[in-house]
Amino acid sequence: MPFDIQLLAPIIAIQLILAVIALIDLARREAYRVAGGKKWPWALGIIFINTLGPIVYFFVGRKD
Amino acid sequence: MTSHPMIRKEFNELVRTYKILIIPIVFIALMITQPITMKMLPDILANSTGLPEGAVIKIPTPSAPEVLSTAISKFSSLGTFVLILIVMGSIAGEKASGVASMVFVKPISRAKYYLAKAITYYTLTIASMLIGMGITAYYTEILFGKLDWTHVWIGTLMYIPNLFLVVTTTLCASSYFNNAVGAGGASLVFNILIFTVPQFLGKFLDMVSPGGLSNAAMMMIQENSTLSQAFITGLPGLAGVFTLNIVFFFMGWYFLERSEI
Repeated sequence: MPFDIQLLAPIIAIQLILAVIALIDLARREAYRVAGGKKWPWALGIIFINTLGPIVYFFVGRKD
Repeated sequence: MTSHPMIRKEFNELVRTYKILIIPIVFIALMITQPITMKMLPDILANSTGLPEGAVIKIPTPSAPEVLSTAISKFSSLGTFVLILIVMGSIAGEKASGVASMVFVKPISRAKYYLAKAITYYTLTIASMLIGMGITAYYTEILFGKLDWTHVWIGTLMYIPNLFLVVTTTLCASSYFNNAVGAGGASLVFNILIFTVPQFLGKFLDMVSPGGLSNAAMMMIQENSTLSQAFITGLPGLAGVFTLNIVFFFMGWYFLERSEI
Protein backbone atom coordinates (compact mmCIF):
# COMPACT_ATOMS: atom_id res chain seq x y z
CA MET A 1 0.00 0.00 0.00
CA PRO A 2 1.44 3.39 -0.94
CA PHE A 3 1.35 4.66 2.58
CA ASP A 4 2.31 8.26 3.09
CA ILE A 5 3.48 8.84 6.65
CA GLN A 6 3.67 12.60 6.12
CA LEU A 7 -0.01 12.64 5.31
CA LEU A 8 -0.88 11.17 8.69
CA ALA A 9 1.67 13.16 10.69
CA PRO A 10 -0.79 15.72 12.12
CA ILE A 11 -3.20 13.02 13.34
CA ILE A 12 -0.36 11.13 14.97
CA ALA A 13 0.91 14.32 16.59
CA ILE A 14 -2.55 15.17 17.97
CA GLN A 15 -2.98 11.65 19.30
CA LEU A 16 0.44 11.76 20.99
CA ILE A 17 -0.18 15.17 22.59
CA LEU A 18 -3.55 14.07 23.96
CA ALA A 19 -2.18 10.79 25.28
CA VAL A 20 0.80 12.46 26.99
CA ILE A 21 -1.38 15.11 28.68
CA ALA A 22 -3.82 12.43 29.85
CA LEU A 23 -1.05 10.18 31.17
CA ILE A 24 0.61 13.05 33.07
CA ASP A 25 -2.72 13.96 34.62
CA LEU A 26 -3.37 10.32 35.53
CA ALA A 27 0.07 9.88 37.07
CA ARG A 28 -0.31 12.93 39.30
CA ARG A 29 -3.78 11.96 40.52
CA GLU A 30 -4.56 9.81 43.55
CA ALA A 31 -6.42 6.58 42.81
CA TYR A 32 -9.56 7.61 44.71
CA ARG A 33 -10.00 10.63 42.48
CA VAL A 34 -10.27 8.48 39.35
CA ALA A 35 -13.58 6.96 38.24
CA GLY A 36 -13.66 3.30 39.24
CA GLY A 37 -10.98 3.78 41.88
CA LYS A 38 -8.24 2.05 39.90
CA LYS A 39 -5.67 3.72 37.70
CA TRP A 40 -4.34 0.93 35.48
CA PRO A 41 -7.49 0.40 33.33
CA TRP A 42 -7.44 4.08 32.44
CA ALA A 43 -3.74 3.92 31.54
CA LEU A 44 -4.44 0.99 29.18
CA GLY A 45 -7.39 2.86 27.65
CA ILE A 46 -5.38 6.03 27.12
CA ILE A 47 -2.51 4.21 25.47
CA PHE A 48 -4.36 1.68 23.31
CA ILE A 49 -7.56 3.46 22.25
CA ASN A 50 -6.69 6.09 19.68
CA THR A 51 -7.78 9.67 20.41
CA LEU A 52 -11.06 8.60 21.98
CA GLY A 53 -9.31 7.06 25.01
CA PRO A 54 -7.73 10.30 26.29
CA ILE A 55 -10.89 12.30 25.53
CA VAL A 56 -13.11 9.88 27.43
CA TYR A 57 -10.63 9.99 30.30
CA PHE A 58 -10.76 13.78 30.41
CA PHE A 59 -14.56 13.94 30.40
CA VAL A 60 -15.53 10.89 32.42
CA GLY A 61 -12.46 9.51 34.15
CA ARG A 62 -11.63 12.36 36.49
CA LYS A 63 -13.50 13.03 39.69
CA ASP A 64 -12.99 16.34 41.47
CA MET B 1 -5.60 37.96 31.95
CA THR B 2 -8.14 40.60 32.74
CA SER B 3 -8.60 42.52 35.90
CA HIS B 4 -11.97 41.07 36.74
CA PRO B 5 -11.59 38.42 39.47
CA MET B 6 -14.51 36.24 38.33
CA ILE B 7 -13.12 35.97 34.82
CA ARG B 8 -9.73 35.12 36.29
CA LYS B 9 -11.36 32.40 38.39
CA GLU B 10 -13.04 30.89 35.33
CA PHE B 11 -9.80 31.08 33.41
CA ASN B 12 -7.92 29.28 36.17
CA GLU B 13 -10.63 26.64 36.13
CA LEU B 14 -10.10 26.09 32.40
CA VAL B 15 -6.36 25.70 32.91
CA ARG B 16 -6.79 23.36 35.88
CA THR B 17 -9.14 21.01 34.02
CA TYR B 18 -6.97 21.15 30.87
CA LYS B 19 -10.03 22.32 28.92
CA ILE B 20 -7.90 25.08 27.45
CA LEU B 21 -5.70 22.45 25.78
CA ILE B 22 -8.26 19.77 25.01
CA ILE B 23 -10.77 21.89 23.14
CA PRO B 24 -8.43 23.31 20.48
CA ILE B 25 -6.88 19.85 20.00
CA VAL B 26 -10.27 18.16 19.65
CA PHE B 27 -11.45 20.81 17.21
CA ILE B 28 -8.31 20.36 15.12
CA ALA B 29 -8.70 16.58 15.23
CA LEU B 30 -12.33 16.75 14.13
CA MET B 31 -11.64 19.01 11.18
CA ILE B 32 -8.26 17.84 9.95
CA THR B 33 -9.40 14.26 9.35
CA GLN B 34 -11.57 15.46 6.47
CA PRO B 35 -8.80 16.62 4.06
CA ILE B 36 -6.75 13.56 4.99
CA THR B 37 -9.55 11.07 4.25
CA MET B 38 -10.39 12.92 1.03
CA LYS B 39 -6.76 12.66 -0.03
CA MET B 40 -6.48 8.98 0.87
CA LEU B 41 -9.91 7.97 -0.44
CA PRO B 42 -8.63 6.28 -3.63
CA ASP B 43 -6.12 4.27 -1.56
CA ILE B 44 -8.75 3.30 0.99
CA LEU B 45 -11.15 2.15 -1.71
CA ALA B 46 -8.42 0.29 -3.57
CA ASN B 47 -7.55 -1.64 -0.42
CA SER B 48 -11.10 -2.42 0.63
CA THR B 49 -12.15 -6.02 0.17
CA GLY B 50 -15.06 -7.34 -1.82
CA LEU B 51 -14.38 -5.43 -5.02
CA PRO B 52 -14.55 -7.54 -8.18
CA GLU B 53 -11.32 -8.16 -10.03
CA GLY B 54 -10.40 -5.35 -12.38
CA ALA B 55 -12.78 -2.76 -10.98
CA VAL B 56 -11.76 0.74 -11.99
CA ILE B 57 -12.40 3.56 -9.56
CA LYS B 58 -12.17 7.09 -10.82
CA ILE B 59 -12.73 9.91 -8.38
CA PRO B 60 -12.12 13.45 -9.54
CA THR B 61 -9.83 15.30 -7.17
CA PRO B 62 -11.94 17.88 -5.32
CA SER B 63 -10.71 21.44 -5.15
CA ALA B 64 -9.29 22.84 -1.92
CA PRO B 65 -12.33 25.06 -1.07
CA GLU B 66 -14.71 22.12 -1.56
CA VAL B 67 -12.69 19.97 0.82
CA LEU B 68 -12.62 22.74 3.42
CA SER B 69 -16.37 23.30 3.26
CA THR B 70 -17.07 19.58 3.76
CA ALA B 71 -14.71 19.72 6.73
CA ILE B 72 -16.93 22.36 8.34
CA SER B 73 -20.09 20.36 7.67
CA LYS B 74 -18.50 17.23 9.18
CA PHE B 75 -17.43 19.29 12.15
CA SER B 76 -20.87 20.68 12.92
CA SER B 77 -22.45 17.56 14.42
CA LEU B 78 -19.53 16.20 16.47
CA GLY B 79 -18.30 19.67 17.38
CA THR B 80 -21.72 20.52 18.82
CA PHE B 81 -21.59 17.37 20.91
CA VAL B 82 -18.11 18.13 22.26
CA LEU B 83 -19.05 21.73 23.09
CA ILE B 84 -22.12 20.55 25.00
CA LEU B 85 -19.99 18.04 26.95
CA ILE B 86 -17.61 20.83 27.93
CA VAL B 87 -20.11 23.50 28.89
CA MET B 88 -22.85 21.38 30.49
CA GLY B 89 -21.20 21.11 33.89
CA SER B 90 -20.18 24.73 34.14
CA ILE B 91 -23.07 25.96 36.29
CA ALA B 92 -24.99 22.76 37.08
CA GLY B 93 -21.86 21.02 38.30
CA GLU B 94 -20.97 23.91 40.59
CA LYS B 95 -24.51 23.98 41.94
CA ALA B 96 -24.34 20.24 42.68
CA SER B 97 -20.91 20.33 44.31
CA GLY B 98 -21.64 23.42 46.38
CA VAL B 99 -19.07 25.68 44.77
CA ALA B 100 -21.83 28.00 43.55
CA SER B 101 -23.24 28.52 47.03
CA MET B 102 -19.73 29.30 48.27
CA VAL B 103 -19.35 31.90 45.53
CA PHE B 104 -22.70 33.53 46.26
CA VAL B 105 -21.90 33.93 49.95
CA LYS B 106 -19.42 36.57 48.86
CA PRO B 107 -20.74 39.86 47.51
CA ILE B 108 -20.80 38.69 43.91
CA SER B 109 -23.99 39.15 41.98
CA ARG B 110 -25.38 36.27 39.98
CA ALA B 111 -25.27 38.40 36.86
CA LYS B 112 -21.49 38.77 37.19
CA TYR B 113 -21.08 35.03 37.78
CA TYR B 114 -23.17 34.21 34.71
CA LEU B 115 -21.49 36.83 32.54
CA ALA B 116 -17.99 35.69 33.52
CA LYS B 117 -18.84 32.10 32.55
CA ALA B 118 -20.37 33.18 29.24
CA ILE B 119 -17.41 35.40 28.35
CA THR B 120 -14.80 32.74 29.11
CA TYR B 121 -16.57 30.04 27.13
CA TYR B 122 -17.23 32.37 24.18
CA THR B 123 -13.56 33.37 24.08
CA LEU B 124 -12.48 29.75 24.29
CA THR B 125 -14.86 28.79 21.46
CA ILE B 126 -13.68 31.58 19.16
CA ALA B 127 -10.01 30.86 19.80
CA SER B 128 -10.36 27.09 19.33
CA MET B 129 -12.40 27.44 16.16
CA LEU B 130 -9.95 29.93 14.63
CA ILE B 131 -6.96 27.75 15.55
CA GLY B 132 -8.62 24.58 14.26
CA MET B 133 -9.78 26.19 11.04
CA GLY B 134 -6.42 27.87 10.46
CA ILE B 135 -4.49 24.62 10.81
CA THR B 136 -7.01 22.65 8.71
CA ALA B 137 -7.00 25.29 5.98
CA TYR B 138 -3.20 25.37 5.94
CA TYR B 139 -3.05 21.59 5.63
CA THR B 140 -5.73 21.58 2.93
CA GLU B 141 -3.69 24.13 1.02
CA ILE B 142 -0.65 21.86 1.17
CA LEU B 143 -2.61 18.82 0.00
CA PHE B 144 -5.05 20.26 -2.54
CA GLY B 145 -3.74 23.61 -3.73
CA LYS B 146 -4.47 27.30 -3.33
CA LEU B 147 -7.10 28.75 -1.03
CA ASP B 148 -8.39 32.28 -0.73
CA TRP B 149 -7.76 33.11 2.91
CA THR B 150 -10.16 36.07 3.09
CA HIS B 151 -13.02 33.74 2.16
CA VAL B 152 -11.83 31.18 4.68
CA TRP B 153 -11.63 33.59 7.61
CA ILE B 154 -14.90 35.37 6.87
CA GLY B 155 -16.65 32.02 6.37
CA THR B 156 -15.32 30.82 9.72
CA LEU B 157 -16.43 34.01 11.44
CA MET B 158 -19.88 33.57 9.92
CA TYR B 159 -20.03 30.04 11.28
CA ILE B 160 -18.98 30.99 14.84
CA PRO B 161 -22.41 32.40 15.93
CA ASN B 162 -23.76 28.85 15.52
CA LEU B 163 -21.22 27.61 18.06
CA PHE B 164 -22.18 30.55 20.29
CA LEU B 165 -25.77 29.33 20.11
CA VAL B 166 -24.66 25.90 21.34
CA VAL B 167 -22.74 27.47 24.23
CA THR B 168 -25.61 29.81 25.14
CA THR B 169 -28.30 27.12 25.12
CA THR B 170 -26.11 24.78 27.16
CA LEU B 171 -25.41 27.52 29.73
CA CYS B 172 -29.15 28.22 29.87
CA ALA B 173 -29.97 24.54 30.44
CA SER B 174 -27.11 24.35 32.92
CA SER B 175 -28.56 27.13 35.05
CA TYR B 176 -32.03 25.55 34.91
CA PHE B 177 -31.10 21.96 35.80
CA ASN B 178 -29.33 20.92 38.95
CA ASN B 179 -27.19 18.16 37.46
CA ALA B 180 -24.83 18.30 34.53
CA VAL B 181 -26.17 15.28 32.66
CA GLY B 182 -29.72 16.61 32.60
CA ALA B 183 -28.49 19.95 31.32
CA GLY B 184 -26.39 18.29 28.63
CA GLY B 185 -29.25 16.04 27.52
CA ALA B 186 -31.75 18.88 27.29
CA SER B 187 -29.29 21.03 25.39
CA LEU B 188 -28.43 18.19 23.01
CA VAL B 189 -32.09 17.55 22.17
CA PHE B 190 -32.72 21.25 21.67
CA ASN B 191 -29.70 21.72 19.43
CA ILE B 192 -30.56 18.72 17.26
CA LEU B 193 -34.08 20.14 16.83
CA ILE B 194 -32.98 23.71 16.06
CA PHE B 195 -30.35 22.59 13.55
CA THR B 196 -32.46 20.07 11.63
CA VAL B 197 -36.14 20.96 11.85
CA PRO B 198 -36.34 24.53 10.38
CA GLN B 199 -35.29 23.39 6.90
CA PHE B 200 -38.65 21.61 6.56
CA LEU B 201 -40.69 24.59 7.71
CA GLY B 202 -40.52 26.83 4.68
CA LYS B 203 -38.09 29.17 3.02
CA PHE B 204 -38.14 32.03 5.52
CA LEU B 205 -37.55 29.93 8.63
CA ASP B 206 -34.80 28.05 6.82
CA MET B 207 -33.08 31.34 5.99
CA VAL B 208 -33.06 32.67 9.56
CA SER B 209 -32.17 29.33 11.20
CA PRO B 210 -28.70 28.17 12.25
CA GLY B 211 -28.76 25.68 9.37
CA GLY B 212 -29.20 28.54 6.93
CA LEU B 213 -26.26 30.33 8.51
CA SER B 214 -23.98 27.32 8.17
CA ASN B 215 -25.04 26.92 4.53
CA ALA B 216 -24.10 30.55 3.92
CA ALA B 217 -20.77 30.04 5.69
CA MET B 218 -20.05 26.97 3.55
CA MET B 219 -20.96 28.93 0.43
CA MET B 220 -18.52 31.61 1.52
CA ILE B 221 -15.75 29.06 1.97
CA GLN B 222 -16.48 27.37 -1.36
CA GLU B 223 -15.60 30.62 -3.13
CA ASN B 224 -18.18 30.24 -5.90
CA SER B 225 -19.66 33.65 -5.15
CA THR B 226 -18.19 37.04 -4.38
CA LEU B 227 -17.69 38.19 -0.81
CA SER B 228 -20.65 40.59 -0.79
CA GLN B 229 -23.03 38.07 -2.39
CA ALA B 230 -22.23 35.39 0.16
CA PHE B 231 -22.49 37.92 2.96
CA ILE B 232 -25.98 38.99 1.86
CA THR B 233 -27.09 35.34 1.79
CA GLY B 234 -25.85 34.92 5.33
CA LEU B 235 -27.40 38.11 6.70
CA PRO B 236 -30.85 36.69 7.64
CA GLY B 237 -29.13 33.71 9.26
CA LEU B 238 -26.85 35.99 11.27
CA ALA B 239 -29.83 38.07 12.43
CA GLY B 240 -31.84 34.98 13.41
CA VAL B 241 -29.01 33.28 15.25
CA PHE B 242 -28.07 36.43 17.14
CA THR B 243 -31.68 36.90 18.21
CA LEU B 244 -31.81 33.30 19.47
CA ASN B 245 -28.51 33.86 21.28
CA ILE B 246 -29.81 36.95 23.07
CA VAL B 247 -33.11 35.27 23.99
CA PHE B 248 -31.42 32.22 25.50
CA PHE B 249 -28.75 34.31 27.18
CA PHE B 250 -31.32 36.31 29.11
CA MET B 251 -33.45 33.22 29.73
CA GLY B 252 -30.48 31.49 31.35
CA TRP B 253 -29.75 34.58 33.43
CA TYR B 254 -33.40 34.62 34.58
CA PHE B 255 -33.25 30.91 35.52
CA LEU B 256 -30.09 31.51 37.52
CA GLU B 257 -31.60 34.47 39.39
CA ARG B 258 -34.69 32.42 40.21
CA SER B 259 -32.97 29.17 41.16
CA GLU B 260 -32.46 28.35 44.82
CA ILE B 261 -28.86 27.74 45.72
